[in-house]
Amino acid sequence: MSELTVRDRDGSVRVIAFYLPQYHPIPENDAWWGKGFTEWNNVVRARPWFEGHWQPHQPADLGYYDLRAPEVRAQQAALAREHGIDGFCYYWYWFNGTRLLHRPLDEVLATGEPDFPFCVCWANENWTRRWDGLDEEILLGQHYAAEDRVRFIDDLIPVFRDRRYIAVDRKPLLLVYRPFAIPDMAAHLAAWRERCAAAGIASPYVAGVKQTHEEDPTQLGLDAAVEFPPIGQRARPITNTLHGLDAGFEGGVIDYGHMAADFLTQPRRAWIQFPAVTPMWDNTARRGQRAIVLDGSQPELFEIWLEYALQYARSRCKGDERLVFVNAWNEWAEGNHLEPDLRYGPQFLEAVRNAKTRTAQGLPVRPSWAEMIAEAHEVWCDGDIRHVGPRSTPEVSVVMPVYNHETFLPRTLASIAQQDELQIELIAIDDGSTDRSVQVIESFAAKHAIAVTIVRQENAGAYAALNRGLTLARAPVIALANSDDVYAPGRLAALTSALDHRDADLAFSGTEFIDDADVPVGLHPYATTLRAHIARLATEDLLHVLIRANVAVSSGNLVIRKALIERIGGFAALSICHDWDFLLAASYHARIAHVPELLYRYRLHAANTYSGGTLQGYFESDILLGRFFDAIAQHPALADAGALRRFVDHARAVGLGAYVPPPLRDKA
Amino acid sequence: MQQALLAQQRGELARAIALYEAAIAVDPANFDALHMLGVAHYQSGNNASALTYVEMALQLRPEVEAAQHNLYLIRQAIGFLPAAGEELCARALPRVARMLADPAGSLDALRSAREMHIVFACASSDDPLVRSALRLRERIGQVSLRFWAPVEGAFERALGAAVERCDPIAGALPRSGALVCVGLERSLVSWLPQMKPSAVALLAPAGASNRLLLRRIRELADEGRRSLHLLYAGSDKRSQRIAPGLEIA
Repeated sequence: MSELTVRDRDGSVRVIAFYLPQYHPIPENDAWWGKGFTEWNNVVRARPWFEGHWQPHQPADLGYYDLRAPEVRAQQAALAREHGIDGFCYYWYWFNGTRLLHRPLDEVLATGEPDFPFCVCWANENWTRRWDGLDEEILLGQHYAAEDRVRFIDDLIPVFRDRRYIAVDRKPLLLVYRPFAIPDMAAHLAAWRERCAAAGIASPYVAGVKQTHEEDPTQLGLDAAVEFPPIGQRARPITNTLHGLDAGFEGGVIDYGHMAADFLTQPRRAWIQFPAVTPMWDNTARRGQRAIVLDGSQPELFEIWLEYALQYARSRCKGDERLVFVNAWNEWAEGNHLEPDLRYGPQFLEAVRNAKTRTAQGLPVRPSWAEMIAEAHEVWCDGDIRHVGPRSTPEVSVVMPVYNHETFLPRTLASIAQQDELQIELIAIDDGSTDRSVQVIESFAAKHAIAVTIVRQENAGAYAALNRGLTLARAPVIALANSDDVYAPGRLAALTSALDHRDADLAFSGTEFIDDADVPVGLHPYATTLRAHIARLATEDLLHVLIRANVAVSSGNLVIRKALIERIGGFAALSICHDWDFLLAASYHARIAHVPELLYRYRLHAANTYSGGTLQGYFESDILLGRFFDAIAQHPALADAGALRRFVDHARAVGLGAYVPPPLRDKA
Repeated sequence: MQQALLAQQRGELARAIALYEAAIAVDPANFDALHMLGVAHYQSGNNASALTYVEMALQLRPEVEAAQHNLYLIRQAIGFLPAAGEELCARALPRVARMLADPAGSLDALRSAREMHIVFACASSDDPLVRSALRLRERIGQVSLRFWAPVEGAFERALGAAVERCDPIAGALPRSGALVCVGLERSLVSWLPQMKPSAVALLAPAGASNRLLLRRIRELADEGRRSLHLLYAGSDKRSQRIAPGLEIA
């Protein structure tokens, strides 16, 4: 079918933009709205309703075009292709056998131009006077009669046969805008399958557009769901915070960033779902004072949202189901377009290309030992590394990334020096501190008979500092440390002993949460939640607990045999959850010992009163859980069928069922 | 559970919380107790705990719509979406900050104009930004200076100087020279296109919202302002990291 089916097996994500085939007069619109009516009539009459309200949107490169002109369609495709859009999704206006706004696609089909991939979305809303799908005054309604199921697919079969038609799993991709409005979806799907089989082509891969976050079109028998921002968003309007708001304004204004964050923090769904983004949205052109406006859209914000969406598609979907939709290519009357305008020019299009380029390397993976050594050699010159104190072979290497913690370092270092049951070395990697952290470590090294290695580097993040520090460790056992946390007395002796006596490769202890003044923290929500998870270690399997939270709390609580690192590698480039990711990955290869005593004191700073629930945290925990669950059928701790079944049941019970690979869902 | 629900209905929230906690102590996987404990905390105004417990409940039964709705209410109350939106803006800001001129040259760029206009786009004359604007005037030195405000406000008293009102309809606007926009709350785009300033500076409060910083920098850049400067009223390490500017202390 489409060449894309094959090309995209390499893990890249296809970006498909919704395409409105309006912008040319049709007899129906002439009758309903006046002779010569097109969307542009609405676009040009829009005006701003508050200070900084960007209206009207005026097209730039393509002008106020007419889609009957083949050169306009060619220009659109060229612009899209040049900026990394992989296809258009044309709205298919089909009402009980009557098609509207069909000329652009018909001509694309007839002429074979532009040579650009496409699919269609059945816009199965009633055609009304309101423009937004709410059935106020129906001009052309949907009836869903039995014979229409057949007529509908018969009209589409020639379209599916087009070599440019976008396929998923070698099936033509068909979107349905409102699947829940169709009274007998199963009968439709059955009829479509039957007719396609009779015609000798694959039956369509049907994806339903979502109207709310929770809506699951696959319940109706569809193959997948498609997000459609801003539809379904639940951010609180900011209308009353605006300056210069016209007294006549009755609509609602939503912050673009709040809305994007709402979509980005939705949980993984058990069904296949294609993420979608919107560059902007403002239907002032259609609704005037009753408009819904997304305020504060900018190419850079759109670009970051799209980067996340691309990574989500990569992490959550497989093969050529890796799709991201953009709403929309040219919804000018909804103030919603990638096409260049006079204010931003092609910047939203460039954002698509940038986001694709930035995410082309794929999701962050853990580096192998060889890669860690190569990277450290590449980054550090000999002069960056300084050794102070004795060079005898240590029993434990303490590896500590340091970043702007001059206030806490004296307490951290004292607690490390206190671990005098063992011969230790300290490897401190200063990750570009701008305070006196390095001087604090130097003065510590001068006063203590501990081998200290100090490395300075430009700020590269904790995971990079850890990976590089690990390559310098000389002892067979490595203890990680955070430059603001505290080791309890006897910590390293207890944990190395646990490694030996429990034949483990990795150990961690219980955690006491402390504040900036070293006082144990009471009812802090983050500490409370983690304590509840940690308490489960007493009665539940480690894996059952570990999929719900990083019960080691932080990398600073890990004591690891160097041989394990050499075997499985280090930390992935995740800025928040690299430690959790490492633990889950290590569970596949290592025996993990938990020592319940509170031998690790983790500092909760005054500033982070609510440290859970950041966007990046959502994103990272989703990809690391996805990765962990992908191979659970091969997990050594779940080798017997009973253990695997219990684990899958548990994952479902705690709301992680969406991560269980589909083949295991039915078996378990 | 019955007693707890009754207590909650009567508004005895502390008692209800204790009863739900007791129920959870017996059965940590009690969805109803976790969910209602979250709701009771929400009713008590303790949103952080409310979030914790409703999220724990939803981990057990993610499909329950009532709990999802309550989670949504709590996330709204806790300002979760604004916080996440700020995070998104913080990631975008360094990309937008490339449009700014080097802060080392900002004062010279403002000094080189024959006339400087300071426009107040902040909430009131009590704002510490007003003091910072006065310090900026001292640091700039001998340049002819006019103050403007887009709204009525008691700026005169705070400044000890006349303040003109921007009124694009009446044609009362700064016309040329350098422009300093004090505060980020107001958009200048309704009238700025009519002015041809030689340099534009934004004077942002310490701890400025990423969202407003992003928006104002973009707006001015979209207007085609090439000599675009960012000033901070005081020391602000966090903002400096993502959008460097000159501190006017």
